[in-house]
Formats: sequence, C-alpha cells, structure tokens
Amino acid sequence: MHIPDGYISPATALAYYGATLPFWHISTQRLRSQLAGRTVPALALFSAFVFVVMMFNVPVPGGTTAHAVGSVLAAIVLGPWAAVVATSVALIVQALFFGDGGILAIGANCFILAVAMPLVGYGVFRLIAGRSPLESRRRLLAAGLAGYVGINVAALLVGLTLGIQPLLWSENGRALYSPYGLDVAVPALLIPHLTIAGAAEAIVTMAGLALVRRLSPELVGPSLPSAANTSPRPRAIVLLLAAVLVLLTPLGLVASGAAWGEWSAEELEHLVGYVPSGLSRWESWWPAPLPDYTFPWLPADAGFFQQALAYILSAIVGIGLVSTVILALRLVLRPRPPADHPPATP
Amino acid sequence: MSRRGFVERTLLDLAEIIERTVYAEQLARRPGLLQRIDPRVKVVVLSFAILVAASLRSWPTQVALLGLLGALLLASRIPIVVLIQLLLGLPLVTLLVAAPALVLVPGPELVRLPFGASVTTTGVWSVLTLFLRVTTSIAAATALVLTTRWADLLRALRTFRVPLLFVLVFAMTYRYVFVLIELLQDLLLARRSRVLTPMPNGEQRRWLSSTLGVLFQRSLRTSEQVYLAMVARGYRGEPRTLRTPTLAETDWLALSLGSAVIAALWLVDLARL
Repeated sequence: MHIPDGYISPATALAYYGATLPFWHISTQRLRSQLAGRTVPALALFSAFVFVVMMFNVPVPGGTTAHAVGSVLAAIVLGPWAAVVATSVALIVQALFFGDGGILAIGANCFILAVAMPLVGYGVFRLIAGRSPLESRRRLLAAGLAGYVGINVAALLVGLTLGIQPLLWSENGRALYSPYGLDVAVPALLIPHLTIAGAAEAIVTMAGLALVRRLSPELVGPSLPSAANTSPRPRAIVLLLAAVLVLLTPLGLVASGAAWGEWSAEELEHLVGYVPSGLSRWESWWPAPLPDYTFPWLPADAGFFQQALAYILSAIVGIGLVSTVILALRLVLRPRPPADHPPATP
Repeated sequence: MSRRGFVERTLLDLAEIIERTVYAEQLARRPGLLQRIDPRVKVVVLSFAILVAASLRSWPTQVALLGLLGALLLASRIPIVVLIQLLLGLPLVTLLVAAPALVLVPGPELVRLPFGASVTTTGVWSVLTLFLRVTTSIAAATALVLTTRWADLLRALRTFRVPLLFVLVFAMTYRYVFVLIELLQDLLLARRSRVLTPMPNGEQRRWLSSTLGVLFQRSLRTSEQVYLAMVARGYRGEPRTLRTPTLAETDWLALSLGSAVIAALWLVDLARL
C-alpha cells in the first residue's frame, strides 16, 4: 500500500512531510527519556522487527495470503511512540534501500502507515480494552479490531490522497498525477482493505499480542509506562486524530487548498511561474470526473467550497458513525469479571 | 496458487530480498561513473532530480530527464537487464492500474469503443504523464540507491544534519533486518521440512502467531545484548563518528553540472506552458 513517487504532487508530498515532522519530534523526545541509553539498539531492533513483519505473507480465511503492516501491533506492545519511530524507520529503510515506496513520498507513507495507523489503532485498542484484565479475551478482540480499523484508516487516507490529485492538479483536463478521482480511488483502496488486508492485519495484531502476552507478560502489563497512563491520553489522541482526519479531507490536506480559488492570475503567475492556459476551462471541468459523486443535499452545480465543505461534513458524519459503533461495542463487551483462567491462546 | 502456503511465499520473498541486496552491493562496487562520485553530491543532485521529476508537466522534458538518467545508469555499468527489470516492475504496474483512466477521464473522444465508452485524448495524456513520471522517479531513485553503498549513503545523511540518533538507528536496523530474516528463514525451513501436506488455514495462523512471538522475543533479547556490548566498548549514550573527507574537484564539477542541467530542464518545462 506504499505510495510510489510520481503518483502524488510535490505539494502533497511536502505537506505530508510537514505533518509528520512534529510526530517524529515528539516520539523521539519521549523515547529518549523513556529508554535512556538503550534508545538506539532498542529502536533499531524494533524497526528491524517491524520490517520483517511486513515481509510476512499472512494466511487469510479464504485461502489467499496478504501482507500486513504490523504498526498497530507495535503500538500495542511497545507503546504508540515507539511504534511511530520503528515503523517510520522500517519504511524509510525500505524506500531508500529497496525502492519500495517513493523517496519523495516518504512523508506521506510515514504519516499514513507510521503515524495515523498506529495512533488510531492504539486509540481503538485502549477504548475497547478499557480496564479489562490483562489476560482477558476482550483485549485480544480489541487488538484484532484495532488492527482492522488502523489498516482501513490508512487505506482511506491513501485513497483520499490519491483521489484529490486530479481535482487539484490537472491541466486542460489532463491529470498530472494519479488520474482517478475520489469516486474511484477511495473504493479501489478500501474494498480490498475492508476484506483481505484488513483480515491479515487483524490476524497479525491479535496473534502477536497473544504470543507476547504469553511469553513476556511484563511487556504488556501495567509496568510499561505507556500502558500505565490512564485513559485521558488515548482519548485525547483519538480526538486529535479525528480532527486531523476531518481536516485531511480534500480542503485541508494541502495547505494551499484553502487559498486555491482565491489566487488571482498575477499571484498564480508569481507562484507557479505561468498561468495555466485553460484555467477557466479547468474550473468548469473539475466536477466532471465525479459524475455520480454528488452529495444528496448539494445542488449539482455546487462550487468548490461547497463541495469541500460537503467532504468535511461527510467525514465528520463518518467518524461519528464509527465512534458510535465502537462505543456500542464497548458497552456490549464491558461487564465481565476477571476470568479465573486465561482463555486458551490460539 | 493455493497450493503454496504462506511458508513458501514468505521464504521466496525473503530469499529475493537477500539476493537483491547482495546484487545491489555488487553493483555499487563496480567502477562506473556514478560510483566514483561522492555520495553527498549524489544525494543532492538525485534528490533534486526526484523533485523535478515530480514537478515536470510536459512530455518532452519528462522524456529528456528520463533519457539523461538512463544514460547515467548505463555509464555506471548497471546492466541493461536490470534496467529492463525495473521497467517491468512499477512502471508496468502503473500502466495497468492507470489503463481504465483512458476511458474514465472525460475529454474529447479519440477512439470509440463498444458500449458507448470511448478513449479520450485527455485520458491518454493522463496515463502517459503518470507513466513517464513514475518511470523517471524510479530511474532517479535507482541511480542513487544502486550506485551507493549503504554505509556511504548513511554517512552522507549524517553530513546533511540528519540527527545522529536516526542515522545510527538506520544503520543498526539495516544490520539486524538481516539477522532477523536469517532467523525467520531458519524457522520457516525447519517447519517446511517437517510438513508433508498443506496445513489447514487455522493451523497456519496458529503457527504464524508463535513465529511472530519468537521473532519479537529474539528482537528484545538481541537489543539488550547489543546495548550491553556497546556499553562494554565504552558507549555512554552519545555516539561519535569519524570526520568526513572534503569534496574532490570532480565532485564539485558533478554537483554544479548535474544541478544546472536538471534546473535547466525544469525552467524549460515551466516556460513551455
């Protein structure tokens, strides 16, 4: 699911670098104080572990296999900040050394797979696991669901990122980057992830946690500093991420998005160096690639800002729906006294 | 396809990674054009090339940049077979993935297809632009990665003020990826040699989970051992490195010439439209 170079515009790629940098900074600061002198070897081995987990072909129900990312597992076992750094390092090593995923797109890939995915996954895990006993089945379920939600959030972000390319960067109807609009890109990424890849991620996360819990319980126990913190922090993370997700819908993803329509021709010439010959045509053209993608509450000839607003609204609605489902699940799963025997691990 | 379980597939993937790495290291040691240039210069010029490859808007400049990079790769004694393999990788996948855009991008009709669909000129241009862009980006990344040894690339990153913490972590990750890959290969081979029939899916997953657990435990233990070994050799939490040598004259020449040519291409592209 890596985005290769060439599929996204430099502006998108740089915006993603900007979004990822603060997370890298925070996580390294935290880890430095948490791990003290052990930082380097510990992070290196975690990264190598995540790298190797990405190599696994996971058997999925139905007879096929799929690759997993493993960053949610890392977040649950090592803590969210270690997961951010370890997954980022694994992705950068992949890009710089194996040519998997682009170099300019490192920011985008890291934000999606190494920041959004483990943090959302971790938030889901904490929400569902709650204060359930360490050996409960509910924690395993929470881990599986966290992996599933995490990979799908990542897929959604990739779909949105690719989907806005033809809307923002086209010339005279010719797409300069990934040619598919949101109506094609989002389902094309979400459908396989909602089924096969989602299952693989859930399996890896659940199986990994089960084993780690059995072999080194001290890691997932309350002694781990990141797990010892009570619920407000994960909740804050979830809220923060929800806000980021909402803003990542077309208008907010690229910093220039808001100002896009406000550029005068002179400013545009100054900024880009030329005036696109078909600017007026382009403007009237842009809703055209989404013939079936009109919002029921919007007139068909809605302008850019109305459409963008509609995207944000639908993002809020979507997040609301997902949170409701998760909260409902939590209520269903809550009342459960500690089991006297840990359930048999798979 | 269903006959091959995840054990075989993972084994094949692992073998491929090792094979590719060994081969890449061999290529980086050949006496070619790019191999002679200082890694710092290569990082600057080729990163610039990647940025420009992502920004170009007209096909002649895209083709020119691609041709330039192709010539550099050939001058660096990268075999044509390797270049063709690269072309058959992501660029071919891109063509397949982008093929529906021929019809889906609205615009003036070029070729009429049955069922009311038609290939549009804008669709053809979109696919062509993406194909050239992806291929050029890959060529630039390849020119950097295949002609530079990993250790040199890391040293170059260090001179660009990438925090030493990250550079060290990259270096050690790279080293231990192979330790873990070897361990995983052993585990998978041991398993495979004891199994006669394909395992049922549930059994495979159970086994997968224990493999994951073993790998994780080994990573933890190794990291602790590595830390102790570092401390035993005088590590106090702050790493030190050797001073990097200064650039030679040919490196300065490559730096200015390379950047100038790429910048010129970019300007031509901006002026054309």
